[in-house]
Amino acid sequence: MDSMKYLAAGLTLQYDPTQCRGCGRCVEVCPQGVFELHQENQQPLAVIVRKEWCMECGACVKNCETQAIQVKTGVGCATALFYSLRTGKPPCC
Amino acid sequence: MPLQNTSYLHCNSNLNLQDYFDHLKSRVSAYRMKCNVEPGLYALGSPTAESMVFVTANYKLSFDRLRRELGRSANTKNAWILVLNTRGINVWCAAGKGTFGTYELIKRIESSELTKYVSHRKLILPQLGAIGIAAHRIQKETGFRVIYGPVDVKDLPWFIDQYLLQTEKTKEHQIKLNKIRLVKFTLLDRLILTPMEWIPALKKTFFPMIALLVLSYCLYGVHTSLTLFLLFQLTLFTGAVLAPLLLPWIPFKSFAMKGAIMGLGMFAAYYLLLGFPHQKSIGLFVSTAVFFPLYCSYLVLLFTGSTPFTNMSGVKLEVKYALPIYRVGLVVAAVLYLLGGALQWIL
Repeated sequence: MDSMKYLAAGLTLQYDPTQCRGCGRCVEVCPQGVFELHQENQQPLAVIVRKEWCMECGACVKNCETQAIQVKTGVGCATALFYSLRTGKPPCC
Repeated sequence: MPLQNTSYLHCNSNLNLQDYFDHLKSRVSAYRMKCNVEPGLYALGSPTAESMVFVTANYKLSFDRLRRELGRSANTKNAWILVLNTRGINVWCAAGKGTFGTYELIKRIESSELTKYVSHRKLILPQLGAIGIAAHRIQKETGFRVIYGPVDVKDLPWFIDQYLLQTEKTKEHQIKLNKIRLVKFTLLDRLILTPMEWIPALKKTFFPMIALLVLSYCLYGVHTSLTLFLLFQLTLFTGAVLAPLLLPWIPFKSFAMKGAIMGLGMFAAYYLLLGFPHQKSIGLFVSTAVFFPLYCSYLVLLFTGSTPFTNMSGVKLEVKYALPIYRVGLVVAAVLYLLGGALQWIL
């Protein structure tokens, strides 16, 4: 098996298609293939095709010029969370 | 344009035995923390003003793998490599932390005087660097257009030769491009990570293990002491090596659950194959049946940080439910262990 899915409950990915300019950067940068570029009324538009694969890395948010995408980013790392719980500082591993 | 040898370093695409030894050491120990290269602009081979510019981190493994792959294609064997100061951390982790970031890239373009050496305005970045780079801001501030290459550097020659430089892009091209834009986590990928799960766990548990051995010998005798030692080592191996290797085939998406299942399986197998000195104490048996599967669960939960597909929201949920269970389990196991031991002495 080359790829795996994780728990999708609580995913914070949010996308507003009305803000999309169709630049395609989200498709280019997403390492889990969440987005695809489709044609809507002869205009390119980003579409979420597999939301549950999102790993909340934030690459799409970072590269979306119109801020159409929001995600609460952070590393999916239990060690970082334990550190944060222990020290009260932000998660770090 | 005459090339001045003043503001850049040279490198080639050959990796020697020392380089590979450095990579190996980086995979098994904290050596990776010192395994850096000098940040700045590098000339790979003999690049000209038209040669492409590739950006990477100053972790030696990242740098070495890039220059080796660039040497595989006639289009890239002479190229510019811009190395960002990521404090010796690889591209992906550095991008998450922000050191492989917009600000550092802008700074590095300026300090290396890149515009003096290239006539075009294109940069090729690793896809996983996108987490830290706002491509539109780079363009605005420096005039350079960012092109994200594939996730894995070994697909870079294909990306350059068969995709980027092709004027006609077919459906086959698009299918292959979609594939190389996905991060994978194969058995080999997981295997390579296991030394850095297992070795630190062995080191951290060394003294507690000695203490447990001595205490068990005093409370229960040598047979129990050795049994606990063996169970402990088996748990470490199951949680740090076996579970990561078998990850996709273990039921449940939750890593804590996967670890608990593997721990229970290991414990049951041990009991069935080797027996257990439980005639000594039922309390001891229950104590170990609680502790070792939970400890295995904990070890596998830690593996979430080494995987490229876990999301923070999911890990937060896992920790929220698992932590209280680990705490209660630890107390129950300790109490039963000590009570059982006390009874050995009294009776």
